[in-house]
This record gives sequence, C-alpha cells and structure tokens, in this order.
Amino acid sequence: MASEYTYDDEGETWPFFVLAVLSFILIPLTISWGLRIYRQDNPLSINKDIKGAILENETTLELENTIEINKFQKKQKSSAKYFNKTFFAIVIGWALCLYIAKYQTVETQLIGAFDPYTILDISAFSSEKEVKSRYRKLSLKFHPDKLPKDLTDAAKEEMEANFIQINLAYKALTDEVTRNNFLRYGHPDGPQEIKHGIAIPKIFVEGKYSSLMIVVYFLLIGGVLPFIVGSWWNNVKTHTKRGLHIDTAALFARKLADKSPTKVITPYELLDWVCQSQEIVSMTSHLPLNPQIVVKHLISRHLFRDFELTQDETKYEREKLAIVAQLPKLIDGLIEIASIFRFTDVVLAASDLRKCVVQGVPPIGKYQEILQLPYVDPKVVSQQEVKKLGKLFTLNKEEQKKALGISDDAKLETALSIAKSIPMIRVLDAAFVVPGENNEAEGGLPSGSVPPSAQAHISIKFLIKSPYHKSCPEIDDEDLKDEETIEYMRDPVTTTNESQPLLPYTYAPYFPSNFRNNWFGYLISQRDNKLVEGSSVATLENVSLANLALTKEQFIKGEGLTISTFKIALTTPTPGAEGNYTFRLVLKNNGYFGCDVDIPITMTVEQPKVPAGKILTKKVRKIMEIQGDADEEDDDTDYSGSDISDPEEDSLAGALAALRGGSVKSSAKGEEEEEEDDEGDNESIFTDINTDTEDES
Amino acid sequence: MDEETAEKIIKVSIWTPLLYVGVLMTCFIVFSVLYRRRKVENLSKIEPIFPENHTHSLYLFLKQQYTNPDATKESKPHEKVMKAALLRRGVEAIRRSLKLKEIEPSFNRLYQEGLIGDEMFKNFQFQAKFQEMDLKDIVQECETYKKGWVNQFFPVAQEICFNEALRRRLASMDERSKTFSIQWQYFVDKSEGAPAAPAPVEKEKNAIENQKEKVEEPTVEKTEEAKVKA
Amino acid sequence: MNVPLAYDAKTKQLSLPKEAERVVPLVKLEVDQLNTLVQELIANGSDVPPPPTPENFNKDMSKMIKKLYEGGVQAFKQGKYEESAKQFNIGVAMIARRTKFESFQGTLQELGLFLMSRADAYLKTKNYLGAFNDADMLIGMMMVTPDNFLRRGVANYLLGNYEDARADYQRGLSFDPDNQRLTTELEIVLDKILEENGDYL
Repeated sequence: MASEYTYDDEGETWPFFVLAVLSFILIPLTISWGLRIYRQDNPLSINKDIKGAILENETTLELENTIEINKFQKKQKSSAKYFNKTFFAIVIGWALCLYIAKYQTVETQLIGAFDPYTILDISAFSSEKEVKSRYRKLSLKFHPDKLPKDLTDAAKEEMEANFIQINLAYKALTDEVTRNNFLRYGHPDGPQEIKHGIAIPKIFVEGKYSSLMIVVYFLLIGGVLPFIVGSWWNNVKTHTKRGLHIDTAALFARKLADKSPTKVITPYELLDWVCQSQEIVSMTSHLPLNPQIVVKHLISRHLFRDFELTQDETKYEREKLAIVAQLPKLIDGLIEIASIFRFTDVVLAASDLRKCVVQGVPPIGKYQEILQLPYVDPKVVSQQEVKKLGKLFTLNKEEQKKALGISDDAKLETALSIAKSIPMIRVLDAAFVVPGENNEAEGGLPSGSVPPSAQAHISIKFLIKSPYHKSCPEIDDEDLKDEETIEYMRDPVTTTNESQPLLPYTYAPYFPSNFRNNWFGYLISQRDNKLVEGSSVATLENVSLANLALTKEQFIKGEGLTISTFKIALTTPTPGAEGNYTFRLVLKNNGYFGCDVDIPITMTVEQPKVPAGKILTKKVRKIMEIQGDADEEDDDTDYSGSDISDPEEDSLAGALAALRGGSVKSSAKGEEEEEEDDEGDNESIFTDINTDTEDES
Repeated sequence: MDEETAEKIIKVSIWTPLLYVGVLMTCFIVFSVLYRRRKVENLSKIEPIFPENHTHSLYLFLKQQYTNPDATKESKPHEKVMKAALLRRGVEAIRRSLKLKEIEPSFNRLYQEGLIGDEMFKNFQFQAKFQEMDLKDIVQECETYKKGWVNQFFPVAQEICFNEALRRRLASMDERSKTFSIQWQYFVDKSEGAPAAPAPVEKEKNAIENQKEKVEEPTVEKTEEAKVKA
Repeated sequence: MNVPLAYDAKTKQLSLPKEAERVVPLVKLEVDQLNTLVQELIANGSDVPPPPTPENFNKDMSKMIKKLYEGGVQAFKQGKYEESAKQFNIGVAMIARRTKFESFQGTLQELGLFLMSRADAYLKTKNYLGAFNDADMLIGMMMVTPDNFLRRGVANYLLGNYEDARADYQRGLSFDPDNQRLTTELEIVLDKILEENGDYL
C-alpha cells in the first residue's frame, strides 16, 4: 500500500506540477521582457539625463532615411515595443496560472503534517501542566456531549473530528507510545500511507488519450529536448566567445596570418574582408547576381549618404540597413583578432572604418570630421580648406555656411550645436604609475618612473573639451594627483574609472542601431610599431562630459572644469631591467571623428632610492644603468642606441638637410654604418611577403 | 478469452524490446553517419592558411616528366631546371615555415581566448606538421641531385626567399602609391598644385621657414619631452 | 593545377598557353620566377648555386651601382634633382636585377642607401608620394633610424598628413630623444595641427 503508484485523479498534485513548470518558464520570460523594454527605451531619453550628451537623432533631424531607419528599428524591436509575441505569451501564461491556481487545485488535507501544538493552539515550549489545562478547556468546548443541540449534522461532524484531533494531539504530547509514534513518523497513529502520485490526470493515461500521451512523450524526449540541447551546442560550436561566426573568425585569422607587407591596409581593404564574413554572406545570399558586389554597392551608398534611389535600389533599402547594422560587430571582431596578431595598421584602419560606417562618411580623404555633421554637402566640403571642427568655430556665420554647404540658418544652427557637443580630449598628463611609489618627498620615485617588475598602470589625466573651446586652462599640478585611498590602493584602475559617469549613446543618425559611446585604448611599442605583447584593448566608457556645457571664457579660466582620468591596467609587470621604454598610446573613439588621442609615452624603470648613503647610491645606480643598457642591447638587435647619439650623423643626414641643399652623401655615409648594426633583424620583416607583384621580365 | 489475451501480451513483449532497440540503434547510426559526414565536410570546407602551393605542383609536374622513361630528349627537363624548381619549392617552404613560426603564439592566444574555433586551430596545427613533412621531402629530393647539397641548399633557398621578398616589396611601390593617393585623395598628375593637394609649395616653405618662429608646444608633448629628458 | 605547361629544351624555359596566363596569373608568376632562376643558374655555371657570401657578391654589378650612386649624388649637389632622382631610380632597378642567390645583406645595404637618397631627391622634386613610399620601405626594412622617420615625417607633412607626420617624428624621437632636427620639425607640425584646428595655446 505504501509504495503504490497512482494517477492523479482528484487533481491533488498535477495542478501544482503544471504551475511549477509554468512559473519556471514564465518568470524568466517576464524578467527578460521587462529588461528589454527598459533597455530598448529610447536612447534619447537616456541621453537627456547625461550632461553634455547630444540630443538629436534621425527623427529630430528629419534626415532622408528616417522612415527606413524607424521601420528597421521597429522590426528589430519585434513589432512595437510592448505588445509583441513575448507579451502575449506572458499574458496567456499568467492567466493559465491564475486559472489553475484558483479552480483546479483541490484543498488538500495535509495528512502527513500533524502538529499537536497548532491543534492545541499553544506554544511549543509549554510545560505539561499548560498542555493539560489547555486540553481540558478545548475538550470542554468540542466534546460531543457538550455540543449545542441545534447544530446541523455537518457542523456536528466537524466538531467531532476536531475533538478527535485534539485528543490525538494531547496524547502525542503526554502518552509515551503516541509520543514515540509522533517523533518517528510525524504522526501519532504511526506510519502514514505514502502516495507516489504521477502528476498527470488519469484521463490522459487511460482511455482514448493514452496513445496521444505516448506520442507527446516521445516528441518531448526524442525531439524537442535533443533539438534544444543540439541547437544550443551548435551555437556554441559555430560562434566564438565574442559572438563572431567561427567561419568569420577563421577568415580574419587567415587573412591576418598571411598578410602581405606589400599591400597597404586601408579601411576599404578591411571592408572587403568584412564583406566576405559568414554573417554578411548568409544574410545576402538571396540577392541577385553577385551578392558581394551588391553588398559593396549598398555599403558604399551608406558611406556616401547617397539617398537618390533608382527603383531597383529602393527594394534593397532595408537590406542595406540590416547589413550596415552588422558591420560594427564584425569590425570589432576583426580588431580583436588583429590585436592578438599585434598589427597596428589593421587595428587603426579598422577603427577608422568603424567610425565611417557609424557616421555614414567615406573612408577616403581628410574631411571626415566635417562630413560627420548633418546637412553638410560633401561636394562643397571637399572643395574647401576647413577640415577640422575646431577651425569651423573660428569662422563667422557666412563662412561656416560656405564651408559646410548649408544655406538654411536653422540647419546650420543644428549642425553647429552637434559639432559643439562632440567630445574632444586634451591630454594633460599621461604616465605609467605604480600606486604608492611616486612620492618623491618621502623618498619615492619621481613621477613618471616605475620600479622594476612591479604592477603598473597607465594613468591619463585629460580634459573633455568641445571643438568650440580654445586654448587650455592653467591646471595646478596638485589637481593631477590621485588621492591614494585604501580602495584606490587596492584596485586603482576600476576604482578610478568607475567613479565617473557612463558615456551617453553615440549620436549616429545614419546608423540603424544604438550603442554607447566609448574610446578604445591601444598601447603600441615604438620599437617595432606593434601592439604591446600581451596587452589587451582597454575601454574608456566612464567620462563626465560636463565640460562641454562651459562657455569659452569659463573653459579658459577653468571655472567649473572637470578633470577626467582614465586608467589602463597593464597585464604584464614592468620590465626587470632599468631604462627607458617608449610607447605610443592611441585612444580611438568608436563613433566620432576628431576625438582620437595619439601620444608618445615613456616608461622609465628605476630602482627606488635607498635612503642611506646618497653618493654611494648614485654610483650604484649609475652602474646599474650601464648594466641595464648592456642588457638591452643584447635583447634588441634591431636597434642599438649607441650610434644615434653620435651628433655627426644626425646633423648631416635627413630630408631637411637635403631640402636645404645639404649633402646627401654624407648622410648616406652615416646610414651605412647604422645598417651594419641592423643586420640580423633585417630579415624578419621580409619573411612574410606573399602577394607577388614581381616583374620578372 | 483469458488465454488469448495472455498470448497477445506475450507476443507484444517479445517484439517491443526488439523494436525499441532497433529504432534506437537506427536513430544513433543515422545520427553518427550524418554527424561524421558533416564534420568531414566542415574540415574540407575550411580554407587552409596558405593558398595553393604552386611551386610544389610545378616541381611535381617537372619531376614527373624528368623521371618518365618514355620522355624524349625534347620533353625531358634539364637538370638545372629541376634544381631551380626544387629551389623555388624550398623557398616557398621556408617562407611558410617562418611565417608559421611567427604566427604560432598569436594562434595559441586566439585559441585560448576562444576567438577562433577548434577547426581553425586544428587546421593550423595540421599546416605546421605538413610543413615539416614538406621540408623533409625536399631534403630527400635534394639528395637525389647531388650528395651533400642539403647543407648548401637551405642557406641559398633562404637567401632567395629574402631577396624575392625584397623585390616584391620594391615592385609593389607603384601600386602602393596609387592606394595612398586614393586614400588621402591626393592627386598630383593633373599639374603641380592640383586642387586636391592644395598648394604644396607653400607648405614646403612653411616646413623650412617656420623653424625660426618657435611657439610654445602643447602641454602633452611638453610633459612627454620633459619625461624623456629627465 | 590543371594547366598545360610546355617545356622548351633549347631555351630550358617553361611556358604557359597565352589564354591560361590571364586565368591564372599566380601560376604565370611562378613560372616566370622559375624561368628567371633557371637562367641565373645557367649563367652562374656551377652545378649548384653557391652559398651566399660577401665574396661571391657580383663585383661588376657593385661597381656599376656605385657609379650610378655617385652620379646621383653629384647631380643632387648641383641642384639637378630630377636628374639625380632618375639616376637613383636606375640604380634601384639594377639592384633588383641582381642574381637572387646573392647575399641578401649586401643587396639590402645597397638598396637602403639608394632609397634614402632617392627619398631626398623625391622630396626636392615634389614627388611626395614617392618620398613617402621610399621612407616607408626603409622603415619597413627595419632601418628605424631617426633620419628615416624624419624623411617619412616630412613627406607626410608635405602630403598634408599632419597627424601621421607627428607620429613619425615622435617615434623617431623615441630612438633619439635629443635629436634636434626631429624636435624642431615636431614643433612645426604641432603648430600646424593647432592651426588646422583653429586652436592655440
């Protein structure tokens, strides 16, 4: 009896089972739906809360492609914002839950759960005396003999049942045997019947539905489950960790592995690679003729903001947006792979390409900074001299109109207000820092120096400025120091970076989807012009743009100025040998032209001073420096420092000398000697040439 | 009646497990066949890192003619041709080996960080092994022409490899110029001082003469300079 | 590779059918490179090519190349920049015609010399793209001297690539922090960048 399987005839458990399953599905679904609504909220409304953000988009600007972009975004948001399929699924699901909970669940008697204290309504810590008095009181009330005569039969029965319960409870607390039973089985009567119910109503198992049930069961176990697991696994297998299709990743890796030094890496060349990616190919396989050519044509129309359509092209307008929307993700993937190969040229060209795609600006020529503004006439812009936003603000209104090719006053105003809000960076200081080491007054290293084999980071102090702001305010050196709190000492990089507000969404009216603005930081070795080994791409996403709201005068005077900090963690410790190590730090914005940073930065590795015996220390340091230099020469055969400092050579050589009519021959002489030093490493650069253009005849 | 039902039940109980196992087995077999076929397809679909090795096939083509007993004097390649072809094969093999060695750390890191798929990484390892075998094969071939040539063969092949690379780079100059002029929208051939390249003469003058009028440097550079000098 | 190849026993050259040349340009290139090597091997005489040493560096060629170089320098000094660039040009072409199994180091040195001088001549003749290209190749050859960065920087400056010029000067300075010329040029380009931005300090 105790281990008999029964089907759930009375609906005791199956509604609970169904409820549990439903809630398993419904709760995550509801949360994700809610989050999506929250996230999909108009970026403009988020930007409104961020100081200095640009509050324009394709709709407010009334651009040529607004309708198409809105359509595309709506489709992306899958049929309106709130009332999509998920919404209906959630509503129906919860309605079902309610219905089951309300009408299908039978109030079950909790047979197993017997609690004498509750029945007697006394505290679990009551003494035997208290139990007895309580029992007496209750039995007086419920005793069958003491019941009022006018009660109905049903009420009578209930009272009697209560009386039995009270008796049992009393015995459980006082009688030895019953008490043991209660302790062992949870019930004063001894072991209770245990029901193993299957949470399926009986009608489904017996009778005409039984075959259906088996089919459902088979489909579930044999079909749906393997399908879900399989497609999940397949997705894991076919996409890299960063969501790039593995074929695309393989394509990029192959292109980079066999990159020919004879070929110039331009944004257009990289666009070519990206167009061959699996994502684009599978998206466009239905296009007529040669899809690759159509794709390139469509992208080029986007880059040149070409909206004069032939009838054929109108059909592909939506495709164009879908392709364009994919590009930044693919380019980011390419950048990531290229940064592992440490190819500076690819990384920088790809960053520029990304901006071109986002702003709808051609990747050739030098006018991108102006062309990223709305309403400008590219033909007019490329025929005049002004290339930079900063220059634009030195002109008067008429000149501005002429430079931009905008004749409408209101439009000019809008374009300029956007130009004003593009966040430029003026670097105040950039140095390698090891927290707690750069306190010269207390015998630490001078600022800019780091001890060997230490965990350093790069600290960049900068001002966010509008192109409209000129010059640079006086900044006190003290303002450039970090306060070395305990939190800062523990994790200087995240503590500092995350103490600043998040950057707003990028103004990119020609681009169909929305993304947050940020800067990507790359550290490049000056020695070989490659990204530093083992360094990862740093992201600057927290900066206050409050400075953009300052007037020109306020900016110069430094009134209400915010100094921002960006810290880049280094993955490897500083070198063990003392000396100077030169790098180039490049920050590339992911959406705007004109706000990149490209500065040289030197790491001076130095032993911290030993406090005792100053003269001796100096000597020691000098010796150590010499040794350090010697070590370096051993390591790097490509360039030895010894011959550059020779003044004769550099004063004779050089293009400028030539321009002034200086002797070339003597310059060449100097070089001849140098080249001998360069031997050995000259070869490496030429091992990887592939595309052959050699003329043999 | 009772007997009949009993018999029926027994009959079913014999066939059910067999049927069950049978269906299950076919399912597994079909799946594994499909899976394997797809895997092979995927592997063959993945492009190798390097394009087709023409030097290799050219050498094999000549070798076949060279060793063909039916070949007339006319069609049998000269020994020097064979040596040259083998040298060229060696050159390409060296180029690829060096290249593979150079990119190995990058590929390891790409794989570790999950930026490339398993197949691409396997492909890379396969390529590395294949390259080793190719080099061994070249050594053997080399010995058939002249004993002990191997010692000289590889230094010479490496020299040719570098020299050819240098020449390719030289030859690519015009192409590069064209690319740059498009990239920068700088066109000179129209006449001096074309509109796209505004007044180069003036700029040049600036470059030389501006030196006298020194203006303060931007702060960034100033601090950097100071650091360098320090 | 399914291309019908023809072998000519007399000239010991391989050839492709004309129509195939267009279809498979890479194969055509391979065949050409092979033919050149065959010719060079035959011209060399010995049964296998000698290992590359400074001794078997073609001395006659070196002489001719040196003459061209001196001619170019002479022309440059006299202010005949076009002439000078032409001489250097011929010299570069001649270097490229050296036998392929000659010493790479020797070739590289010669070429470096010519490219540096040619870049200077190009700057004079306002062929800035040419000058940029030469300086770029020099740096690509790992001849990372401050002078080559100066050359590329100046070419970039004159091409209007001020940011690139700045990066070149700065990289040059990272190898020689006290280089006076690079420092002055850097100042000039920084001013130019400020001017382009309509900014001042």
